[in-house]
Amino acid sequence: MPKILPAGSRSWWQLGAILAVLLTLPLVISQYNVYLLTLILVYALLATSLNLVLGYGGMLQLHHGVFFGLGAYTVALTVTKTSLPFWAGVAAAPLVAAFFAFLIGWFCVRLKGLYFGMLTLALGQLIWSVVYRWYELTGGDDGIHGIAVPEWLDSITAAYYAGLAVVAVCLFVLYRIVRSPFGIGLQACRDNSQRSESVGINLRRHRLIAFVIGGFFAGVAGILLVLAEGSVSPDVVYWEISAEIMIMCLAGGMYTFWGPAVGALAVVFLSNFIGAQTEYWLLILGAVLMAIVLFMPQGILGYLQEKWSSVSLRRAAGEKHVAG
Amino acid sequence: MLQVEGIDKSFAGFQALSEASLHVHPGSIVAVIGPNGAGKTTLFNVITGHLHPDEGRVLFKGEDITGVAPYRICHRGISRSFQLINIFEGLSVWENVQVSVLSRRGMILRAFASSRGLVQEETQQILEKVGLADKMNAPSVSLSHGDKKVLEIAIALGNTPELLLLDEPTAGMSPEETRTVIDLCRELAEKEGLTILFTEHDIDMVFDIADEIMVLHQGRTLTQDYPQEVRRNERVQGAYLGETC
Repeated sequence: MPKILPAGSRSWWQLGAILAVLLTLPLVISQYNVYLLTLILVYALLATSLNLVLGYGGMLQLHHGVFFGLGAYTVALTVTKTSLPFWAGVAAAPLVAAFFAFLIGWFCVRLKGLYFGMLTLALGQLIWSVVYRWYELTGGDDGIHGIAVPEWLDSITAAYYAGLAVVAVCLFVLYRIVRSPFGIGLQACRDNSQRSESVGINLRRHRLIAFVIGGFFAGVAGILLVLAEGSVSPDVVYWEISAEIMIMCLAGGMYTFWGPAVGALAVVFLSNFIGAQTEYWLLILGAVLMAIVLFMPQGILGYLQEKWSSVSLRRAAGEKHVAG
Repeated sequence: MLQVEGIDKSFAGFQALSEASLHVHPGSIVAVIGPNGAGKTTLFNVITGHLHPDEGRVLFKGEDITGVAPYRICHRGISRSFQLINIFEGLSVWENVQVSVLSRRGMILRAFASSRGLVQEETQQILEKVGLADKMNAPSVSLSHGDKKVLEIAIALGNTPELLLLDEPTAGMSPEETRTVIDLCRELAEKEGLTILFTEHDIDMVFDIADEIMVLHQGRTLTQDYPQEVRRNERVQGAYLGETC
């Protein structure tokens, strides 16, 4: 059974280094690569928000991407269809996503395993079909283009830095959540639903709250997508994105906090850079994923952590539990 | 403290319990015994709300708790351990107990506080009491079978129950481990005034520590009495003790 390893002080130091690299990278790389980096950040947040539900909550969420799309459409529609300012859309996006997560979650948390998964997929695709068909409101498969954003955000570099700041804050909050009493309770529900009820946890309520928090942060990622792309299309509520972010979680390591972010990096990188080299990139992506599933069933980061922790665990074995 | 009255429960035509009854006084240790398939675990599941009975009712401290959700029953003061290992395998030994304490204290929904500094003392005390303090940082999945069974009890204690239900607490344990659990139960009852209801196959342990024994046979309560009376009871000998000889 997998164990989610806590981050020590060394990890915070590593994080600082990564943040420093991310801050300086746009100075030395091309505009297109800044755009790709922005996408990686967006998907890192999206995949991590899914992992709260999937990895920590043990819920088979097959259509998490729908909340991402709802967030993006909320911003797009606020800007293009109302006289409200851009920031009203930004404020509304995570709330709309969380509201729909509540509606969908309300039904889904009554089910378990595959049935839970099928219902998330069905209800998510229902939302997709509404977005796809409702021409007057959403523009259907044309999507919505030319979404005006404030002037100072209207370049890919600005969008990147805004995205970096937002993703950093969101990941910090999500990290706090998984290490909180709520987060431990959620993992308890995942490990053993019967026992978690026996120790007094309201299982359905606990799962529903996690589902809504996941939807909220997916909505935040949706805002960042609008900043990066300047447009939305029904593809952002389609199940394909949900499948992609699930692959990110699996490839990066579902039972680690940073795994989905690593998975986002790997998948976006592979699909773009290999895609530029050869038209057979899907074949290569498939082969790489198969290799990960076969040889690193805990994902890239899960695998690496296991390698590292076998050393550090032995070192820490004698230590007592220290008050935080 | 606990009163179980005329419980009927059937599964797809199989009558698991029929008119099972039981009463537990505060501060006492009561054992439920009976051959395999007598309905012991089913009775526990009815008491803790995991199963709805077809007939009958369960009263706890005078209140009807029949069919109340398990997590609510836990908050009223009934806690249980399970016959088969039923722990949180992805969590450390420490977290297994901590989550139980956090839940009982109503702190389980705190999403923005760090869990590190919370309920340290209580968790520590429980782990020391059951003798798992030196293994508290270990992943719970790495424990031996005996230690997992002890952790079962520790998780239940994390809920600071008034009534503790133990479903075969010593199943699969070595004689020494069994001894430790017996001592622990006695200590909990004598020093902390905890009321304990347990099932057990180890007849020696039952007669050793139980104040009263209820005998369940084919889902029916044969008798509930003091150990020496139960030993003398001819129907019990016929139905149960005779069978095991």
